[in-house]
Amino acid sequence: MNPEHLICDTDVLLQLFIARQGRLLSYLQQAYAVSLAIVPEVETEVSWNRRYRSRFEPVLVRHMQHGAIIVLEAPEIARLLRARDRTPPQVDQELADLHERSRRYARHVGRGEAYSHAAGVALELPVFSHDWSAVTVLEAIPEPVAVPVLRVWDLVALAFDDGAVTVADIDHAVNLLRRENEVVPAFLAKSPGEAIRRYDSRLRRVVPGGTPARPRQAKDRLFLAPVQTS
Amino acid sequence: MTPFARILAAFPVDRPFWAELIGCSQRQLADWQTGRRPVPGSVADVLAEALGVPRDVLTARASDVQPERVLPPLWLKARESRLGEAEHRAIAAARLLAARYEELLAITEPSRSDPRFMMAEVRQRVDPQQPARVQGAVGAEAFLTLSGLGKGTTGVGEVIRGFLRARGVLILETPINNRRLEGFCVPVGGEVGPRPCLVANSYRTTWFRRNYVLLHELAHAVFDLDAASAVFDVGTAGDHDALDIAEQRADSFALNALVPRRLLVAIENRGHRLATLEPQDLASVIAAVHAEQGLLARAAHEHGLIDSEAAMRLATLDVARELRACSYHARGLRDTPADQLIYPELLAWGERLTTFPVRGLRLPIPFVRLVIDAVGQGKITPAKAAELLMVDEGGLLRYGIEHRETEEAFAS
Repeated sequence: MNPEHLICDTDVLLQLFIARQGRLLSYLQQAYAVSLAIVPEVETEVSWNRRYRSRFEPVLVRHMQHGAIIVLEAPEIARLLRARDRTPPQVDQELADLHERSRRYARHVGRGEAYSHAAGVALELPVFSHDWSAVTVLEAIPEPVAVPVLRVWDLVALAFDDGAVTVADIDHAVNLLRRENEVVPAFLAKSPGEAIRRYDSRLRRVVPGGTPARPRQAKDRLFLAPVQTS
Repeated sequence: MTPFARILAAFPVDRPFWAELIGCSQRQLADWQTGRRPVPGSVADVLAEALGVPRDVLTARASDVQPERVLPPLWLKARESRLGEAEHRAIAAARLLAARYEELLAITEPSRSDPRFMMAEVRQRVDPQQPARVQGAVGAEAFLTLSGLGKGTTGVGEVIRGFLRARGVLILETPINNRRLEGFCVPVGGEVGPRPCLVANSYRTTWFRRNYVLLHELAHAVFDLDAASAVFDVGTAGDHDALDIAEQRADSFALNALVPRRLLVAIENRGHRLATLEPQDLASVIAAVHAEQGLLARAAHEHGLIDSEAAMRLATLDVARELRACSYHARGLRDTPADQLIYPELLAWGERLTTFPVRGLRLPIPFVRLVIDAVGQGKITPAKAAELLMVDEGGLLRYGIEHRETEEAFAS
């Protein structure tokens, strides 16, 4: 069963916006019934960013208004917990625990990463994040992290495998990221469109008839089942 | 009006400052103020740290919150002291910085001293029936004896910061864009209970002046903080007789701790006749005592070593050039050769001013070093370091911290 949401951290969301691949969020919803979700701290970091200031706030608000991005505020988290058969007292307790966990994580890692991982752990949801040092630091404490930890190119690769993204789209996205001095991984240095074919993506479509193992580690793969069309 | 909006409205600062302090957009702030969206826990935490208001009040939906009932007395004291917008902003930002410092110390130095024991010992040696200036002098002597700083015959300005920090006192020297507020002293929350935070305004002040201000604030922390919850020192026109009891005691404490009589006697015994000092020798004495010229002259007079006429002469001699030649504290770090610095990397750090979200706070050197060490030890990430140092994109490199986490995310 697919997770309801994939939680997204600031750096990944910004790269999606810079690469003008926001449409992948709608694709994810339509093809897999999975929404991208952000914690309020990521909304804050994207709306008023230390690098881009308020440049991407209008884009973010548009996606939020269209429902392509869900903000994990307390009512939404409570809804997700109730959907996991938690009683009202359990929901209250888990909300308090989540806040405490988030604060604990935030002493060591950036606020966006801290709250995203904490929400991922509490709700057993994967997280998109490019801050691998957050994973290393949290695991060394030791604290659990969300599993798996996905990268923006995992989503692009999934859409590419599905035929929703072309080689030209990927080349264009890489160029846009480079223009903004955003980090583009080394494997995309030459012929990005071709490189994505060989990319070891952590986000895959379920093979028909297959029963993939549940991800348990940060580097495990997440398999998504496509929406059944009648 | 939401409790969040009511609390913010109780301060004489405008909306852009709150957005700057929280690090959010104007849209989000408006959403939280109007109650269209719930206030996130992390935002409540930031404001709770900066303002001292319980976080539950900031996230509450009920509208019957009276700010006067939940605001810590320090803000009421600020209002009484007629502090303006710049000072309110500075206090909130400094409290936030102090909270970050405290948070960092909790993960890097979990077993720290509790300064309250040292302060209680000093307080116990002072008879509250004595006149305020006597209390200050006795307190200063007790402090110098208990700390071991009073044994020598040299100034304590170069060791006082390290000593107090090692005892768990938070010290911030940061520019508050207003010369009127010289410093203040507030309690900041800690896991083992509140500890005093001494703030000295470094805006157009000298290191010599700040030595006095820090010791003055220490006196307030020792004698007044428990009762007052906050003490603000707004500059006076130099009329020391007009000060109230707490101020007289703090002034006497700072004067006697920084320029004790035995220090000046030792200097006279080395051949410097205080009454007849010429600029060159006076500069050498200031450099050795670590106190500003005016305080040195006043202390020499109060200790009975020179008369008022000589004190006036000492206080008004022009020694700026001579002092710069004989003390790097008068030149500033920028003009000090790297080989004379204990930490030469300081030069690369520049002014150590914050840039995002809050601009213009000067970060204490030990705080910056703690952040760098914590990154090196894998206790915090570079992204967390950027938050703590309050720097924007690229600001981390100045401190020798590299963002390589994205490359690492694709490393395997």
